[in-house]
Amino acid sequence: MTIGILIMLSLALAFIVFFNRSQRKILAEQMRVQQLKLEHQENLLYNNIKTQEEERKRIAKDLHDEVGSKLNVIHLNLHRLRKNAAVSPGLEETVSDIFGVINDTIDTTRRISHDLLPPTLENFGLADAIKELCESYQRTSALDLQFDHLQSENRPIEKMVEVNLFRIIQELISNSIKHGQASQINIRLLANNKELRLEYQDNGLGFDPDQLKKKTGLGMQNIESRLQMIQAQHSLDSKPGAGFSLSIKYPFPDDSLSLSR
Amino acid sequence: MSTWQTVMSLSSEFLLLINTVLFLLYLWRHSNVYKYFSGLLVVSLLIEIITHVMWFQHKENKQINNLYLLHFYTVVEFILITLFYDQIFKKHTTWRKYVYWFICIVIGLIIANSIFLQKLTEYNSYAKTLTQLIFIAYATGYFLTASHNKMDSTFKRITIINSAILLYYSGSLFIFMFSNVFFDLDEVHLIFWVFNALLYLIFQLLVFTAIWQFRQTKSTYS
Repeated sequence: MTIGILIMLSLALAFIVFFNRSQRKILAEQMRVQQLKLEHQENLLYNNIKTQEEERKRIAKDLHDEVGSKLNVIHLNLHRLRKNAAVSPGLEETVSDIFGVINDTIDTTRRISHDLLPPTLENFGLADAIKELCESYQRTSALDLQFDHLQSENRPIEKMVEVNLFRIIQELISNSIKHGQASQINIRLLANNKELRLEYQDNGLGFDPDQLKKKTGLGMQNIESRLQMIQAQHSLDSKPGAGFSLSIKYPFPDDSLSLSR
Repeated sequence: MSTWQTVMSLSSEFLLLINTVLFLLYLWRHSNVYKYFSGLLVVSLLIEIITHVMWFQHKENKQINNLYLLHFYTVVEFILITLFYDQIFKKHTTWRKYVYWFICIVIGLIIANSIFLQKLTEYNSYAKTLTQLIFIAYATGYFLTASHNKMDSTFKRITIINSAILLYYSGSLFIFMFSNVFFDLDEVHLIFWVFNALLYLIFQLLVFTAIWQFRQTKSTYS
């Protein structure tokens, strides 16, 4: 009987141990799959944003080089036509109308191309691009946009990081105007040898950050995806009626000194 | 040896009291699985109280045979543990289809045993063995079906209770099976009952661990 009890107890214990071990294995496998899924999603996101930026760059280049240059040729030809059309008043009027349309089209093409990939960002970097963006908003709206740039070290920033931070600023300003109805926006860009800090603040309507998580809007999701892509940390602060602020910290990787713009 | 049995019996009864109170306080309304297990704890506690009352009366020379309580407890224990596992296995069509028939047949067998084979004043070792084997089968079945599932917090707690059931009923199977054989052998009888008391103490400790885990999870999320 003692042997029977011992056998039964051993079997029960063996079962429990076996179950725990198999559960641990399943858990480890599930974590591995989860990790792979996460990596896959990150890669997908990275490629998506990268493709989007490359496509924007291509369209901007095509607009500028192909459409823009051809419009300039038409513009020149119209000048020649105007000289010859002086004899016919009806024709001169038509040429003037076409001039107006062509000038508008050249301006629009330049603006679209500029929005798709600001040449300032491409040639002079993030700080100048944000400054230019702020100036363009101030020219066209009543928005009070302040931008401060504090830089203790002139450390080069990877192009991909600059593009993403610039897109985030664009999205934030758009949100502040569209959803927050803000009249004042402050942007600070601080850079030292170790990190880049971008601080954004508006005096808009604000919102409950917990409610934001439940919403499926693409704007904030896009910002978070871009931050995740460049591996930057961020902290968001907002309350209904108390404006919105976002602080982004991008730590420079050790090898970033070797990366040139 | 008798002192050991007393210490272990009292410890397990004290733990049974604590577990019953905690189960009724925190887990009772949480889900049906806990509801049936709470029922089992309440019935066990009531049986323990009644047994103690009868024991004291017995000490005052009023000879009362309390074995019929065991016959009653065997039926209630079987129903409650089966309903507890019913909540776990109810997704399986075969189980859902036959469980109530199964309960009726087993209860019929237990009652038939109490009427024809082992009377209410005798030890119902056949019925106990049958129900214990069923409980072992339930617990083993749980492990076999659950070993492919993801373990969440509720599942973890049920697994602890299931381990308690498997360990206790496996260990005490032979004690109850042969209880009529060594009923008259005082020394042997005592050794095995001390062992049974130890197993019951482990059972209650594991149930306490499950409640503790429940409280921990609650405080983490609150």
